[in-house]
Amino acid sequence: MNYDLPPEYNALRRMLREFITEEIAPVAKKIDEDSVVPPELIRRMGDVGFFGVPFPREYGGMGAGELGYCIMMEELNRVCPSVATIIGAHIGIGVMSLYLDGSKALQQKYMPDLCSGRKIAAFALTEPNAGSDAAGIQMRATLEGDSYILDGQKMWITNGPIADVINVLALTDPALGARGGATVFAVEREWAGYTPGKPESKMGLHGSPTSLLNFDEVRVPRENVVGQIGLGFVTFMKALDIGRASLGAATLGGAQASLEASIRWARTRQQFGRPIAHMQSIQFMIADMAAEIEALRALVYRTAWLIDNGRPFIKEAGMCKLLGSETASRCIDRALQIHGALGLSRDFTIERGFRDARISEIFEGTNEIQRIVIASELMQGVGVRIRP
Amino acid sequence: MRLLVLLRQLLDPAGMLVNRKAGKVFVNREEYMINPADKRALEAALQIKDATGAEVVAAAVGPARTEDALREARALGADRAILIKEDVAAPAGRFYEALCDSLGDVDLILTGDSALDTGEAVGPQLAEMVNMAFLGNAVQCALEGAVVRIVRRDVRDATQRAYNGVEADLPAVVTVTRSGPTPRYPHGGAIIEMYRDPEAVEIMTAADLGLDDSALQPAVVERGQSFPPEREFGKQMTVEEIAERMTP
Repeated sequence: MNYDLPPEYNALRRMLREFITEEIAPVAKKIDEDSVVPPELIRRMGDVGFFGVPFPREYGGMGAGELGYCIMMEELNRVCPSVATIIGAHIGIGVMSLYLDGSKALQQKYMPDLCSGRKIAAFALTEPNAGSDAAGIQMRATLEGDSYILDGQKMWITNGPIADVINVLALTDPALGARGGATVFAVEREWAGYTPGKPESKMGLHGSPTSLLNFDEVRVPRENVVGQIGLGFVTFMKALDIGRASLGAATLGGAQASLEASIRWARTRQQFGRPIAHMQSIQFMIADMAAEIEALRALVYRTAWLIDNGRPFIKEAGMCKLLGSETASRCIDRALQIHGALGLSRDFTIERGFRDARISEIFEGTNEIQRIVIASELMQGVGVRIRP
Repeated sequence: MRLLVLLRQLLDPAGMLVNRKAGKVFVNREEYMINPADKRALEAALQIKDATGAEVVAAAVGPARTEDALREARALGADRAILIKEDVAAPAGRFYEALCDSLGDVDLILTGDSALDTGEAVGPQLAEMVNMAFLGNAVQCALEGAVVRIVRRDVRDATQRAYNGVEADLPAVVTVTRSGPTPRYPHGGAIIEMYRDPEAVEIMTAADLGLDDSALQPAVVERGQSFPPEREFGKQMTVEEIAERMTP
């Protein structure tokens, strides 16, 4: 067994960390305050390959696989969860659904622009009445000549306000419902009838815009069907399965940032005549954080290895998301406690980290859904089929 | 047109901790980096490549790990990378001189004005050895035909904001300071490719360059380490006090 990263991944992590430290860290606070990521930063990140890490070089990606993608998400979320979320939704589910099941022609049309960050992707599944119950979607797609007409509304769509290409799930056969009657369509921002809503005002992730999407008789040519007609739900579930591993990697970065900030502060802050690092209460919190982070790191990178080597990974990816988001929440909570009142100040990163962390327990499948995913994988092993 | 960029790989100071009480330097993380001034020299070369299509050859002397610096140079855009694989604290000048001979028709050599760790500055002497013109301390560097033109800080100006330009006919050696052009970031995909390409870095030895054992003798033997004394705080003085002192 070898726990060392291959040398190319060490070099990649080093470059990413340098870019993130030099170019993103100085503006992370401003991104949160202004609720916008500067387009110039997006462009520069695109030039380095941030927007296409796991995808092949021929499409302008890095060709770095799930392992490289997890490394990038860990490093990015360690410093700026807003930017990490834009990229996570873009790569992990948005472009991924195109890459997994899209036709060669569709991939050639969109992926070069998407992998270079010139265009941003979104993944539109959730509806006002279909959240955890994703199979309960109502949006319709009706065949009319050589096109489908899309009608309906999507909600809480990450990248909604900025996305150029939107992969959206709609019912082509309402009688069959999501299982057998839903299809994925790639919709372009400029098409008539498509209007993204205004960005939601959220507790955290201020730089990552989220909105509802309105589809009012949007005409989509047949060649923009992603994957097979009727099997769209499967495509989306596959993308979500993979996305969970990299989301776990992102939470790992967030937890790591909490630990590093806590250690720094424990060394500096003096109470009762010595640094608080000498207090057992502080030591215990830091030790617990470090132990949980180490376990999470092992799980995340093993899952990336499973994916890159074509092994079954659905259970482990669910665990990455579940364990990762809860670890990150616990770690930022402890970091806030260690920082005391200062942790609440907007002048420190802890307050922003606290607001940014909570969503990870909710999006890309709530943690309750993750537990069902993990349990059903386990039960299938003994012949029990669980349906939510 | 061929540009040769000389790179030095050194320990990243971010991974080091100096403990004065113990009188030791602790290396927490043994990570290596390209000497910052050399990296800017490489950027200057790559900008010339972008403008003129010149060939950029990156070279370094050192043990096997020095390959990392050269793979990074390839990922950044160097056309060739040559590692002179000699794990001795040998005088690098000899290797560079021999490398120039073996490459032939090198039009411009670019390197950092000094090394971050040792302060070593190979540029001026190397120019003498290979019989080329020398332009030092560039913050900008450009080619116009067979003339290299640099901008450097004007040391006659007290505000440190004045610059002047000088030029030389090729072939020439140019050293670039840490204020030189800001290095670009490589595309992540180029890093992965250059590490997976077994031929990304060409390996040469002293023998390949026609050098014998005498070239490999280290010029300096390390006897130990010592630290400069800790500095004491200065005394804050009023203008009147200063004026009083200055009056003869």
